[in-house]
Amino acid sequence: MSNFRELQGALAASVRFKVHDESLDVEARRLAIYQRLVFNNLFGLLSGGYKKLRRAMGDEQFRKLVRAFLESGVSQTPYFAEISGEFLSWFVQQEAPKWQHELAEYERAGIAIDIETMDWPSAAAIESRPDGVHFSPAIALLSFDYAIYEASEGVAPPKQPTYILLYRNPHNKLRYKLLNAASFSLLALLLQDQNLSEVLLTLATSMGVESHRIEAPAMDLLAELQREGAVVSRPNNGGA
Amino acid sequence: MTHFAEVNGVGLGLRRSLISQLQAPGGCDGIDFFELAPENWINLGGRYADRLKWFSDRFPIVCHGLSLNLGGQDPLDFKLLADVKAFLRMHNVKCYSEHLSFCGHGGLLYDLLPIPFTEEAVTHVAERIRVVQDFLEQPIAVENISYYLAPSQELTEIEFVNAVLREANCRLMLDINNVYVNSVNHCYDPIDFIAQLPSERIAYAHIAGHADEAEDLKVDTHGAPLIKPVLDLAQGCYRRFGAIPTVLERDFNFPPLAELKQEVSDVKRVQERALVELS
Repeated sequence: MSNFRELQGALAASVRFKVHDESLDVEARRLAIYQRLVFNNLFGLLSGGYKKLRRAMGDEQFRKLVRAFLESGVSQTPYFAEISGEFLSWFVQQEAPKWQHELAEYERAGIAIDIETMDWPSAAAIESRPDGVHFSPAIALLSFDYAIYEASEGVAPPKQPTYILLYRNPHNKLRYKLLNAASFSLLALLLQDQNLSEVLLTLATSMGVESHRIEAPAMDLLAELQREGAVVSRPNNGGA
Repeated sequence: MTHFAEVNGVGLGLRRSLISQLQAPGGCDGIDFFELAPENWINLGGRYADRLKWFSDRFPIVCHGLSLNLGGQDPLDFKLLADVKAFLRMHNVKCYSEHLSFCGHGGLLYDLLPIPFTEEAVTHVAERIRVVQDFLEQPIAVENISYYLAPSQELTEIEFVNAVLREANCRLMLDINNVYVNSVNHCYDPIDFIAQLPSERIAYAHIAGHADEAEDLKVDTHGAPLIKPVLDLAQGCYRRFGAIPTVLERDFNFPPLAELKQEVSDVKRVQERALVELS
């Protein structure tokens, strides 16, 4: 093979698909170095990002998954922290148990929050909406069909509605909090920038109770989230 | 006339797992500058941005790119280049280097694959380097990579490297360990190779340890201590070209930081000794 472009294509394919292309006329053990380097590098990167998924799937299955991802050739991002994002987009299109997709989504959400570039809400922004709850800008409210936190070595987690708040606190530490369904609904509305009093009214109506009945537990939750660093500022009462 | 990058002495490749040790009191003693891969830091906020700022506030920084795919055929990533350009200015980066290799073909592979040593490849990669330099509005340096195979070879490695440097009018990031590893793997004299390099194009250097796959096959893993033959080769480089600013690279199998700093000071001693001999 003399054409540089063809030659490069053949070399890339031999490495990506771990096959020995005779037309390259290279020593197998030397080609194997590249096949190993490329796979191990990607395996290491994704193992770092998807520790729980790897443990729950088992090494052999996870290796197969990384190999399939490598062969898919979908990687476009030059940024190493984004490879796990491209992997997730690809993985959710692949056939797999739903809990695996959910676990992967959870792990990637943690990475995205950990690295996000963001500014904390300014005093002016807080003052302009005093009846709103102001959250850490690096935050994700997630709901799953499976209790993904119970996934362990080779064990699928039980099917059980699961709500998790993931966020970065003012010390730039990634934190998570398990929520019940009512807290999830409360935070989902508040994260859409609705005022606390409106949110309490909406929730109370949907639950068929008076809004003052849910005000106290809601204020307790928000106070707790403020202590933990998910909430930056909140009204002192729900106006109910 | 030699114009090295605007850093002096011996630097260390900044790796995440070393950071907390480096940030401890006295952690950076003896290290003159740091090198980092922009693809590991661009667009990162939070604790990563804080750490980067800690280092760039205190030390000169050089950047060593990994994903530009200079030797590849996929279109150059101008979004990456725009980000790199902004990053270099924001952190007052003293030099930006990349690899004389390709790292993708229909999607990235995230490793350094050898460009076939052919005339056609020289033209191709030199053109891409020129485009990058025009876009960045500054010269870049390219690294002589370690390679384990050279399919359909038309040119020797030194002919290939020198032809690219000349045609692209770019600088060289001289990887001393790679010269040593390649000289063993491809049976040539490393001193002879060094002697043919254009001194005026050298920006800075790398030094590292490597793994022995077989008697005649060494792999540039950056996962082992420096060995004496590589330090001796560094001495040969410094005697010939002067005290090239040099980065110690270590990518895994990390020893305690004190051991890496001992290697930094070993390199510095060789560098200083060569300077005394030259004066």
